[in-house]
Formats: sequence, C-alpha cells, structure tokens
Amino acid sequence: MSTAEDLPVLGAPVDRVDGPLKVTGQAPYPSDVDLPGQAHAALVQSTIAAGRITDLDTTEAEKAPGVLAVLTHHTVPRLPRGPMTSLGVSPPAPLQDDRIRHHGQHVALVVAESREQATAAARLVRVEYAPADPVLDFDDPRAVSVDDPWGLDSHRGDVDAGLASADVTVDAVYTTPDNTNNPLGLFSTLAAWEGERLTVYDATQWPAMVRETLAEVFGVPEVSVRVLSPFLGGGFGAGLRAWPHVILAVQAARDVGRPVKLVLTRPQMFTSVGHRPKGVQRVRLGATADATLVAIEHHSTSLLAVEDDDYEPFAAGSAVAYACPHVVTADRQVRANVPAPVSMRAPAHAQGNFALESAMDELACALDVDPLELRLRNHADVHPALGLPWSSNALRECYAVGAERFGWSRRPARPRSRRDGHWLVGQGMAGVSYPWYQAPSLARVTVTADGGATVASSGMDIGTGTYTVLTQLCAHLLGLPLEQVRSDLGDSDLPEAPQAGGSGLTSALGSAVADACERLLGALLELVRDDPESPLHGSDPEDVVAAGGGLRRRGDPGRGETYAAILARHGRPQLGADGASTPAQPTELGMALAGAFGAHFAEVRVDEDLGLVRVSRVTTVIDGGRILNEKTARSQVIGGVIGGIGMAVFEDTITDPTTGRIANATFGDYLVPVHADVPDLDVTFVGEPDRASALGVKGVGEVGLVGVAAAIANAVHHATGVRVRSLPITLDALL
Amino acid sequence: MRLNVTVNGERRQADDVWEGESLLYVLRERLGLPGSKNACEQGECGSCTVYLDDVPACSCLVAAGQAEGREVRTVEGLAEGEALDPVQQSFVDAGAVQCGFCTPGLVVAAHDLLDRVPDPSDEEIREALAGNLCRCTGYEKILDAVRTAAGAR
Amino acid sequence: MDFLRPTTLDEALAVKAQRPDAVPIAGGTDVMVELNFDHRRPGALLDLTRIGELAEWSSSDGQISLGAGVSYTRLIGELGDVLPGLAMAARTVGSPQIRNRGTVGGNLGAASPAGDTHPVLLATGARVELASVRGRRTLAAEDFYTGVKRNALEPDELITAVHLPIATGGEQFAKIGTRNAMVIAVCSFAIVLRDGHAGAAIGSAAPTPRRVAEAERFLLDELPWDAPAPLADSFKRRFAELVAAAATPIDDVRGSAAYRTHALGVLARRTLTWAWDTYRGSARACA
Repeated sequence: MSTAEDLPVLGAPVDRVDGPLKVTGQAPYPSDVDLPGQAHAALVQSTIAAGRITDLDTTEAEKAPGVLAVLTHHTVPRLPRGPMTSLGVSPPAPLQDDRIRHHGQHVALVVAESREQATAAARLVRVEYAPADPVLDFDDPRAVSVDDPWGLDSHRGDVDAGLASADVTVDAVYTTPDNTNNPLGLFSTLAAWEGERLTVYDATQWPAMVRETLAEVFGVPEVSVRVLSPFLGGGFGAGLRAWPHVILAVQAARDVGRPVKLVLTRPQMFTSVGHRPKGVQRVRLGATADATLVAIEHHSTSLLAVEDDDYEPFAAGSAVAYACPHVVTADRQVRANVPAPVSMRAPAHAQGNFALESAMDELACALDVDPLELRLRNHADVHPALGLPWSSNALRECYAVGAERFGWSRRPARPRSRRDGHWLVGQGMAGVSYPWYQAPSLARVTVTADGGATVASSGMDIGTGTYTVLTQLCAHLLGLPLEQVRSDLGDSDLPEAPQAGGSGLTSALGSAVADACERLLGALLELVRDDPESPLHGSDPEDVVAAGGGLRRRGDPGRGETYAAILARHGRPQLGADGASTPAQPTELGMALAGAFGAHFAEVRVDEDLGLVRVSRVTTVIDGGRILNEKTARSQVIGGVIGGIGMAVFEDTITDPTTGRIANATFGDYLVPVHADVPDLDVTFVGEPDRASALGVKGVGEVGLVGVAAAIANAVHHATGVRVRSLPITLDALL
Repeated sequence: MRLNVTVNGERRQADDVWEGESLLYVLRERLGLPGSKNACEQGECGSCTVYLDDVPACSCLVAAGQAEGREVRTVEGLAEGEALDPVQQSFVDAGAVQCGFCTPGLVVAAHDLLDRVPDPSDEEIREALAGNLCRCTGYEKILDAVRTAAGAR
Repeated sequence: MDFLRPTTLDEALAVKAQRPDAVPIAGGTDVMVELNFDHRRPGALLDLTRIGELAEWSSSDGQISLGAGVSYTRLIGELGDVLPGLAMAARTVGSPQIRNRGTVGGNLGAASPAGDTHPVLLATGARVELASVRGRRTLAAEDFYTGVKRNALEPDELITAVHLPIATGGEQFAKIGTRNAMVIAVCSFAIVLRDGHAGAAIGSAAPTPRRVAEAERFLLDELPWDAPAPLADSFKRRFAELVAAAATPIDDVRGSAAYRTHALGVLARRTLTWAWDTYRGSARACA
C-alpha cells in the first residue's frame, strides 16, 4: 500500500485545484450567494461605548419603503448564549437587553427588500442613550483584571536568583497595538429557514462550530442545520466564532419568513468580528558573561471585552523558547469597553515573540555578542519544561540556512554602520518556536463508479490550500491522477473537521483523510481478495499497491484492476470509508510535541531625516515538518511574512481615548501593506517529517508571521541605534 | 432608473437601479456577475476593478448612471471560452492565488498593465498593482505571475 | 435621488442653476465613497463625465488651460513635460485605477487639506475657472480654498478649468506617506521656481492647503537668480525653517503635528535643492 511515509518531505508544487475558479471570478464566496426571495439586512450600531439605551424608536424606520422588520432588544426573544467550544466561550447573544458594552455594538437590525432600503431605514432608527464613562485602557482603576486566564502561567527554577546571578540583565517594556484581522472578503451571512430546517451561507473558518451554535441558540437539532462556506475571502481568525451578526441574520430570517442576507461593511468589520488585542509586556532577561541565559521573566497584560473571553497568552511561548533554568511567565487580561478581540493570525505569539525576541536583541547588544550567536548558545535542544526530546526540531538549521542565504556574517556589529545617501541601512533577526496544536478530525473518502475519488469534510480552505493538499494526498494514497480526485469542503453536513486555525487543520484533516484512504483500500482489498473473478484473487495485502487508478500487484502492475472495474463487478455505485485522527499524546510518545520553527533575517532602510522605514529584504527559513505542497506552503509563509511587515510598520487600530470609537475603521486609514511595500522575500523550508504524527506535517499558516516584527525592529535598531519597543514603528518613532 | 450597459460584449439592461448605486452593485446584484468583489467601498482595495470603456476603474467608485451606454469588461469576460487568458493562467501557475478574493481585481489590473507595458519591470509591476490589496499577501507570487504572463503573451 | 446627465457645459450649468442640491460627480473618488458609506444622500447627482469640454486641455501664451474633467492619467501622459510639478503630484494619487478616473477638478471640489494637487496649484500660481449661468470667473488658487473641505464655489457654479503657466524653471512636489503607494499625504510640499517667481505651498499641514508667503519672499529676495550657484546648507535650512513656521498642523491618525512640522522642513530643504538644480539647468540652457 502507498502510505504517507512515501510522500516527499517537500511535496510537489501542484497548482491550486481551485485556481481556475478563482481567476475567472466563478468561486462562490458567501457574499456572492443569493437565494430566491431573499431580503437584505443592515445593522444599526451603538455610538457610545458604555451605558444604556434609554429610548429606541423604530417608527420612522418601519414606515420607510421596503422595510420588512426592525429587530431590537424589544423584539428579539431571549436567546441563550452559544455553547462552549474547543476555543472558548461563544460571544454573548445579541439584542438581549438595553446595555451598551462597546462602541459599535449592534443595537438594531433593519430588514428590507433591498440593501439600499435597509441601509436607508437604518439611518432612521432613533437611539437615545444614557452614556456611562467607558473603561478604555489598562490603567483605568475601575477595570476588572483576570490573572492567569488559561492556567498557563509557568514557573521554573528561581527567577530572582537567576537574575541576581546574571552578569548582564535587560529589563524592558514593549507595547503592541490593536490590529484588525481585516480579511478582504466582507463577512456575510445568508440565512434561510424551511420549517425547522435552517441553511446558512456564512463567512466562517469553522462550519461545524457555527452549526452547533445555531442549533443551540435557536433550539433546533444539529442535523436540521446546515452551514455552507465552500470559499472564504480570508479569515485570519475573524471567522473562528459565531458572531452576533450571524445570530441576528438567522433570527431575522425566522422573523420575516424569508431568506435574509447581511453583509457587513468594512467599518463594521472593525467592531463586529474581532481583532488582535493590544498589550503591554515586560521582559526581564539575565545572562552570564559567556552569553548563557540564566533568567527569563515575561509578564503581559492585554485588553479584553467586558463580557467575553479571548485566548491570548502572550508570554506563554517564552517558557519554551530557550534553554534556561529560571523562568517565569505570567499573563493577565483587563476588561474594557472595547469590541471583542479574537485570535488574529498567530494569536499571542505574534505579540509575545516581538517582546521576547526584541529583548534578546537588547541582551545581545548588552553582552556585545552577535544576536544569532546568543540564540544558538541558548538553543533548546530538548523541550525546556518537559525535558523530553522534540518530535522534530530544525531550528538550528533554520538559523544556519537563513544566515547563509541572507549573508548575516557580513553584517557589521555596530549600529549605524551603513548608509546609502540619507538612508541608514540595518539588519536584524529573530527566531520562532511556534506551539504544537491539534484537534480531532473526521473525513470521508469515496471511490465512485467513474473510477475517481472524492474527499469530503466540513473543514475549510480559507485560502491556505486545503482543497489542493487533500486532493494531492488522496491521489497519492489511492494511486489516482489528480484530475480524478475532487475535494468537497466547507459544508457542515460533511464529516466534522476542526477550525481552519491554529496551523492545525492540514495535519488533523490530512491524517483523517489518510486514515480514510487506508480503510477504503482495506475494504476494496477484501472485495477483490475473495473474488475469484479478480486478477488479485487471493492476494496477500502486503503484495497489493494502489496505483494506476486501482489496485495492482506489487512489482507486477499488469496484474490488477481499476476501482471502476471493482465497483462495476460488485454492482456498487461507490464505496466510501470514514477516517479519523486524534491528537498525539506527548507522554505516550516520550516526545515533546513540536510545532513549526523558523528564523527571519530582515534588512531595513530608514530615512534618517524623515523616519520613514522601508523593509528592503527578508530571508525566512521554516521547519514545518513535511510540506505537502511546496507552492501553497510557500505562499502561506510569504503571506505570513508580509503580515508581519504590516504588524511591524503599518497596522494600528486607533481607538479614540474618550469615546471608544475606532478612528480609522476603513482601508483608507487602517494601513496594510500594498504591493509597492513588499521587497524580495526569500523563503526556504528545512527539516524532517515530524515524528509525532502519521503525516509528519506541522502546519505553516502562522509561523511565517511570528518574529518578523522583532526582526524588523531589531534591524531598525541596527540601522539607527534607536530601540523601538512600541509597534507599529511609526514615522515619529525614529525622530 | 433603467440602466443600459454592455457587459462582456453583451447588451444588458437593469431596472429599478437606485441613482446612488455603484456600477459594482449593479454588476453583482442586478446582472448576476459576482466576480468583481466588494471589500472596501472606497477605491482602496481594487477588488472591484473592471474595464470601463477599456480603462480600468474601481467599479465601486463609478455611479451606475455613469456607465449608461458604456462598455464594461469584468473578470468574467477575460477568458475566451474554456481557455483562460494568459494572465489568468499565469496566476494559477505561479501560485498567485490564495483565498482568491482579491484575484479578480488583480487579474484585470495585471491584464491592463500588460496591455500598456508588455514587459514591465518589477518596480512597474509593484506600482501598477499597488491599488489592489491582497490580505493573504501573496504579493511575491503575484509579481511572479505578471512576469510569467508577460513572457507568455 | 435624481441622476442628471448633461452632455454640454451649458446644459450642465442650467441644471446646476435649477438644482443647486445636485452634487457634481466626475471620477467619483470622493462622492461615491460618501454614498457607499451612506454619509450623505444628495437630492441629485450631476454627472460631468459626458461633457466633452471639461475633458479637454489647451495651450496658449505659455499657459495651459486644463479642463476640470481631465483624468490624472491623461494629465501625466499628455502634460507631464509642460506641467512637471502637477504631474508629480498626480503620480502620487492613489492607484492606476484611481488616476484613471480622478481629476484635478474633483480634487478642487473636495478641497481636502490633504488633496495632492493643491500645493502645486498654489505654488505655480494657478487660477481656478468657475462657471454658472451668471457667467464665468477665475480665482487665484489661494482664494479658492476657504476652510477644511470648503471652497469658494457658489451653489450654482461648477469648476470648469484650471489655468497654469507652463513650467520654465524648476518644479517639485513631495509628500510623506507611511506606505510606498496608496497614500493619503501625512504632509506634502510643492515648490516652483521660474524667472521672477518663487512659489511654495504646503498640504495636509493646516486647515487648508496654503502658500508659505514668508518662505516665498525669502526665495524671491535671496536666491542668487542672476548667478545661479549651488545653495549653501545654511540657506536651505533658513528656507526650511520658514516653511515649517507656516504650518499649523493637527495630530491625527496619520501623523502627529510635531512630525508634520518637522517633515515639512525636510521636504522643503530637499525639494528646494532639486528645483534650484533644474532652474539652474534651464537658466544655462537659455544662456
């Protein structure tokens, strides 16, 4: 049998199977779907950040042309909050009372015949408020704080003793701002009830979770809810929750008895579907004169909504990043009248790594040792907390290959050593240890009468390449040409897969597909083994391989038959098998489960007079274990790096400190990198298949972003001698 | 109001068009052509780029009435039958497509660039496509795609 | 809402006289954003894109008359050599898609302090031509901007053209943006040097785009016009100080007031050097 072990470490750069659909505009994104008789909805959002609604007058709106309904907290029935998911609580149900918890909170939904009518009528909803003084920042004495929200705070050794024994210490505070996920596709929900059956086309990264949530909130069985999201215009974490607007669209469809479509506007994307929360981090490092780390202390505080939760353990990664005897990490969240945060591409690690890897650079400067050398001397050869060998770890190779490709050895040691006209040129680097993450997954693989196969899963391709890699994997395992394999994804009626998030879907879902293929081949083998008419009659399973579109004798490909022939003779239109994968357990394996590793080397140019920062090149080396498709994986890493450039020098969601209103909630004002900002990027994969999973895949959706901000900030320091500890590195930061 | 517009070579008519509506809305919601995408509504992202009388424009910034009697070509009108346009093919080949939401606008913008400048420099490509945001940020691969398409033409 | 589609200027002026609430729309780069975001719903839209006269330019007596509806792309392609400063500003507007539709007339109509063409229009001494059924008038650009996003246009008037001198010396425009493209100016600066004229203006640094009169006077009085030699650093610094002193910027999401003031000084210094070099080159060529 073909197995995953036969796959190359660096998988074939197969073209994206959904490419032709996407380049011709035929791929149906959620906002592209329409149903007969659908009505359109528009949101009314709060214009204060805290307080109560004292009067909500919908009279004018209801009289406006085309209006079918206006939903408010007076009309919406009491709905339960959605269920606890594997990523935490559901958001509070919308329009349940008169309380305002953040600026931009939904306070009404207008449903009308056309979008224009709904939008026009939304302006006619009169809302009066009794505003309260909002809590908007960490230092507000009224703010409620939550210590160690996830039980991840860690202690190892005696950090005070470690610091006392250090020859050199660094003690610095780093701040990161709110960033907004801003997938390009506006989030959209189209909900249609037929009796108690509910169909929802939703912009989500997790159809199975949306189905479960809607079933629970609306009190219907899960089997009567179908959530479809075959294509998504990006998510970056924003699609990991069943947000209040989704619930509202479904409620509206129930109220008006017609399908209802709600498409968020870009400004609404800033307040309605999460963001990367801002934080303050203090890092203390201690090292002996020979550059050996003896203490790491990392404390973080990040901002949280008043009645919602978010997983952002900024500091946790620092406990396992380096070999160090004395370590403390502690995370804290502060509740404020802000929109709910959510995971945004590499949640917590994007921010935490910036602090740790900046501090490491400061330590290298203080020790007068090369920053790369400092990292190599303190490399975690075994898992620093568990003391177990890693299931895979090519971080040293990442450093070595990256340094070579970048030309790190030619970097002058002193800051402000290179100049090109009024541009100062500097180079910096950072390392990344991304955590392992895995969730259980199911999948079904079916061979059909035409001799081809179909992979089916509720899991998503959010642009990552899931369609393509599953198709590749199935084709490999069943010995079929790519053209004869199709993957059906993003439909909650199909076998349940976890979210497209946490860099874990390819491994989880891929392993389930591999399992399904194995079971399917087993079933097919049974059919032919006992069938006197089969050329493979009586064959030992060990002697049969999947090849040439069917089963063949090993070493004698002429002896065998196609899947089509097998099915035809047995009178079956198709034969399918369900597969499953479960996360590995480190204690059983005697190994520490490794996520991806990486190293970034960045060069920047800084206009000395104007403070303009331009990233001129980045070299990135990633250990992602086995790479199923070199082309889609590379695109993911490149995208991560550019996301990191955005985080470093552009992205900043600015909240007015008195009103709590987001002041730059458009693409004109919230700057993300454009084509002209992106330099030549050099991405290389290294490493071996991870030993903890059958596929050996580690996932590369996020690791590319982590560390880029630190590498750039460190390069800015090298260029200018100015240490910037606050992101983004704005124009004024360097003057 | 009634709108008459030629789209991808076909004369089309839309009724009950609101006067403040954009060409993008007409294409997507009234003419069944959702290939052009809506992502920013302010000309910042380029996802809605179409040819208007052979000149690329953000269709979200064209009032529907301004397109009366004019010719529009969208991403749906670039391929000749089943055969992809070389720009479309090169986007697939180069791995320039990720979530794909920015792709239709980028394909039109790149198509126009190569019409104007058959062999653009990297700098020209970066500048010409600066108005097309990609949030998966596959810019490097998009650059490759345009280079490849320039060679293929 | 009404959608009004005149095909001649006379027709458009008649319509505007009858419907002063009609909002003129050309490239749509400002008006459509307001409609898409539902920031306003005017009684009518007045489409100017079918009026041939507005989309033309002509040249006479060393002046260009630039129709209000000429796109930035055409301006760059057709007039880049005679209006280099304005073309520089036009190249920094948005993206190719935006430049294909956006117009100088639209920039004037919106009168945003951050509008890219304003500093050049001010520095070169442009005149804005306005028309109504009552007749035509021209205003110096500096008299046109009256406040934040406000201008001297009467409700029945349309912007029909801009008149600017063909460049004979050095013209420069520079703007600061966080990104390399798709940038709304953090601040911007234009300088125009020709015989007997020294113009300089700032953008995104005051409630309106504005000329920097003292700095202009300094150039006019102190530049070595008759024997153009390279400028001393102290000279450039003095000019930069005068430019910075004329700015009254605010803090906003794009940048701080302090940064804007500082950066204007840097832009002034750099563009003066470049513009003076061009002027010296042209002076030598004429000699």
